[in-house]
Formats: sequence, C-alpha cells, structure tokens
Amino acid sequence: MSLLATGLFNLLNYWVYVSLMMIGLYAVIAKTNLVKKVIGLSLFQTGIFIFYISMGVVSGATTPITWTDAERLRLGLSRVEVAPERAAAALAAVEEDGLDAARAALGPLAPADAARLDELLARPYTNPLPHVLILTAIVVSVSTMAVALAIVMEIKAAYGTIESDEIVTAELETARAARS
Amino acid sequence: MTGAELLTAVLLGAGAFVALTSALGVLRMPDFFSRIHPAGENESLGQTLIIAGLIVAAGPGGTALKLLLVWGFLMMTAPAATHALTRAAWQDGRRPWSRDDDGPAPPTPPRAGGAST
Amino acid sequence: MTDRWIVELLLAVVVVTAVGVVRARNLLVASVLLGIYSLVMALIWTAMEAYDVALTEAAVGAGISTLLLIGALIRTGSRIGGSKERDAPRIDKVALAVAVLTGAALAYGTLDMPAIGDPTAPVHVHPKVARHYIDRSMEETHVPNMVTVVLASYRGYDTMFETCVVFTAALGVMVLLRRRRPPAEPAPGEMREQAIFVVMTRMTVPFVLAYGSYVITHGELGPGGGFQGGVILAAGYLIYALVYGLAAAQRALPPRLTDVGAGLGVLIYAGVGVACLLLGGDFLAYDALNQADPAKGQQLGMTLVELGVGLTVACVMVTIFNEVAQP
Repeated sequence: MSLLATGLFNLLNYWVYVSLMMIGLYAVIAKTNLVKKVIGLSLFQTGIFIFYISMGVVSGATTPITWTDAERLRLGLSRVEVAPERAAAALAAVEEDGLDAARAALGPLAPADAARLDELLARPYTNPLPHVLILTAIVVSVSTMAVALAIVMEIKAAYGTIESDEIVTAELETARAARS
Repeated sequence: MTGAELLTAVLLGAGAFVALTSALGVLRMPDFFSRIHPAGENESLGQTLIIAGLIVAAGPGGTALKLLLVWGFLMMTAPAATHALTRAAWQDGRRPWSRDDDGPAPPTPPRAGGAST
Repeated sequence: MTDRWIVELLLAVVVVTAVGVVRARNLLVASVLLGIYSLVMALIWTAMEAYDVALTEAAVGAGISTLLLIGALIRTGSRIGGSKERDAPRIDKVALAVAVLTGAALAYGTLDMPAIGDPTAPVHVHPKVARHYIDRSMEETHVPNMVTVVLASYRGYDTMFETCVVFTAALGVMVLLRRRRPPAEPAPGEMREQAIFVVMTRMTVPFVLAYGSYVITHGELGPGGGFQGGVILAAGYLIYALVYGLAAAQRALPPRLTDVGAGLGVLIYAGVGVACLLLGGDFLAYDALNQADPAKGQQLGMTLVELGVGLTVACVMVTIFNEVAQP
C-alpha cells in the first residue's frame, strides 16, 4: 500500500507513460484496421515523449533559457514589497557587482519576502537535453507517420481494403490459386 | 489584494464560468447545430474575458500586446472554424432539429443521406 | 514548474483521451480526438517548462498530423463520416493480456527511477552532459536558449541525421505516391467562394508565415528554431491550400521548388560542417568559423544550420501534404 502511495507521489508521470504506451500497443495488436494501427503507434510514441520530458523535470525549475542576473532580480523585485529607491539601488548594484551585492544593497526584507526573493534568484533550470531529443522526435514522428499512411494508401490500391485480416485472406487465396 | 489583482480574479472567474457553462451546453443541447452555439460562446466571450484578465495581470508592456494579438487571431479564426463546421454538417445532410419535428429530439439527428452513425 | 496537480490533471485527461481514440469506431472521430490529445499534450509540455517542445507539438500534433490522417482517410476511400472500423468494439483478450503484462514489467522498472523533479537524479548531475550544457553554454556560445545550443551545436551530428530522416521520409512518400499526372485541377471552389474563409486566410496566413520565419531565426534568443519554425511555415501553406484549393496553392508554391528546398536544407547543414573542416576545425565544430571569436563562430554556425533545418522541415511537410492530398 505504501508502495502505491509513494509511487503515486513520486512516479506518476512514469506510470502515465506506461499506460499510454500500452494503450497504443493494444491498438496495434487488437485493431485490424491499418489506419487504427498507425494511430496506435502514434500513441505509443507520445508515451515515450512523456517519459523523456518527465526525466528532465527539476522541482521549482524554470525553462532552460539563460536569465541574466539583472533579469532574475527584476522579476524577483516585482514579486515582493520593497521601496522603489532600494529596488533601484539593487538594480544598479547587480549591473556592477552581481547578485550578492544587489542583495546587500536591498537591505533587510520581511522574512516571507526574503525567502521568496532568494528562491526566485536561485531558481534552477530544467534539463535541456530531453527537450532537444523530443522536439526533433515529434517532427520525425509526423514524417514517419506520413510514410506509414502512404503505405496504407498503396495497400488500399492493391488489395481494395485496409483491414489486415481481409488482406491475409486475399493473400491466402492467391497462394492457393497459384498452387492448383 | 490590490485593485488590479481583484479585477484579474473577477475577469478570470467570469471567463472560467462561461467556459464551464458552454461545456455543459455542448453536452446538453439536442442536436449538432444547437451544440455548436454554446461552443462558440466560449470561443468568443469566454476567451475574451480570460485574455482580458491576463492583460490586467501582465500590466502594460510587451506581454499585454502579445495577448492582444492572440485575442485578435482568436476572434478571426474561431468564427471561421465554426462556420466551416456547420457548413460541413449541412452538406453532409444534417438539418437543424426544431420542436415542430415529430417526436423528441433525436440523440443523433437523422441524416438526409449516407450511412447512419 | 507549474503546480504539480495541474500536470497531474492534464495527464489524466490525456489517458482518458487516448482510451477514447482507441475505442472510437469512426476513424474520423479517432483522428480528431488524436488532435485534441496532442493539444493537451502541448499544455503538459508547457506546464513542465518545455516550451520548445510545446511549440512543436502544437503545430505538428494538432495541425499537420490531423490533416494527414484525414487526407489518408479520404484517399483510402472511406467517405467522411462513414469511415468506420468493421467490427463491433470488443475486447481482444490476448492483446489485453500482452499489454497488461508488458505494462506491469515496465511499471516495475520505474520503481527504481528517481522521483520526478529530484534535482540530484543522475540525468541532472552528469558533469559532461546536463551540467555542462547548463553551466557552460552561455560562456561558450553567448546564446541564451540552451535547447538551441544543445540541438544545433553540442548535438549537431544527431540533429543533422534527424534532418536527414525527415528528408528521407519525404523521399519515401514521393516514391510511394507520386505519379506522372497532370497538375492538380482546380476543384469546384467550395471554401474559396465563402467570404469568411477568404478574409480569414488573407488576414492570418501572412502573419503565420512571418511568425514561422521569426521562430526559425530567433531560436537562439527564445523558444524556437528550425524544427518549430519549419512546421509553422508549413501550417501556413496548409491553411492556404485548404481554403483556396491544392491547385492554387501549388501555383503559389510550385512542388518543384519545395523538392529542391527539402534537399537544399540538408545540404546547407552538411555544408556548414564541411566549411568547418575546410577552415581547419572538426566537422560541425563551429568555433572554426571565426578564429578570432569562437562564440561568434558558434552563433553563425547555429544560425545557418537552423536555417537549413527550417527549410528542410517546411518543404518536407508541404511535400508530404501535397502528395497525400493529391486526388
């Protein structure tokens, strides 16, 4: 029971990826319609996308686009109560000597505000690598899906159907006719 | 809570309410043509309220301008999409259900031609 | 990251939608549901702070792939609305057993994974991979968007071959579907005669194209790049083709031009690599492009390969759409 509880809290995204992949796998095996099989493959792929992006998540992190110290400070100051002239002094200090000097120039803050500001100033980045892998994979997945659909269209032209079991029957009949 | 925050909350709340009612409308209306009406309500009024709330929250500046552009494109494309949907339904043989028709509202309205759903 | 419960709610929505996609007997309904599924997925990427991925997913999943599926349904002779699977929905017990067993094995495997969002997970702390990208990319390239730096510079090889895969897919579709046939004849103008569609197209397509070009060229500064911008450019063409008809769209952008463009993009990418070689560096090591200031060389190299990627991706998507939509 405790396994389920910790899993739900810590690993939910991974379990969702497993579910999506298996829903896709089920469609690929169980459905006879070829377009439906292609759709199943597409679901399978998006399951893997969730797996990768979830691995890249860092709690409380921001998107991996570098913020300069001044940009961080400006955002932080907009979220806390601080006198305008002290904010201006801090912004001037950050250009010259970096975040620590700016924090000193700001002077003492209310404890809640100070904690909030420090958290915003030290915000980590999410891992950029999974983003790179997945955004190229999305474009590749639509291209490969187009190839699969093109094959399905040619199958329709050749067999007159896109149901896999009917294609097997037609093939068997052709083979039988050739033998006799 | 400042005045701007209050205004944001009110606008976003109103937008969410419109979105909720239009979702209910889509579920409850009797046929295709009446269903698309509440859907359009969300696209126009609901999204306008939400974007207005976000503009107030963002304050004057680049973000507000971008939100305005988003609103402009939404106002252009959403009615066109609704128009395309209803035309496609009409050409497919669907006709608006009215109370003059015999019997209760069909769960899926009958079509003039083609296979039934 | 946005509050966790929002991500969890959206994840629940995608699972339900996925079940709906598989259960829907009408293939048109399944295709449209798949578009909705992708759109919710784009929201999940946004909530997980993966904006570059969200941009791509929104343009590809909700736009292009839905259109391709519907095009394929029409081409396989399934009348819209009548394109049904033959069988009544029933549970295939064997398939279900296979899926459940595989799923259980995979879920058992996840028990050893670090918790979601744990900053000390191995993927986040490896000194030569994630830590290097996050800590050193600004200093080495002066480019703020780490996703673009990793895509175009640190993993330039990988991206070059991804571009080749996309290009090869277009070749595959051409080989399978392109016939010697007269250019698309102007179909009876259905949407073209409707003022509302014409006005909408005229007012949006130029902005879509401008936005696509912006996304390709500004990938270094904010979310964006060749893959994202390329699919947005292609989406602009698709809107035009839907409203004005394929014949008019192909008059505006002749297929011969997109054929050349698709190959040219890959050539630009590989050409930048060869230029680095000729200037005395390694293949795709852009430092060689500007000996005096390696960071400037990196920026030039990245801009050029992103242009190549954008050209290939846009032309490939347009080509695929042309071939699938051609009656």
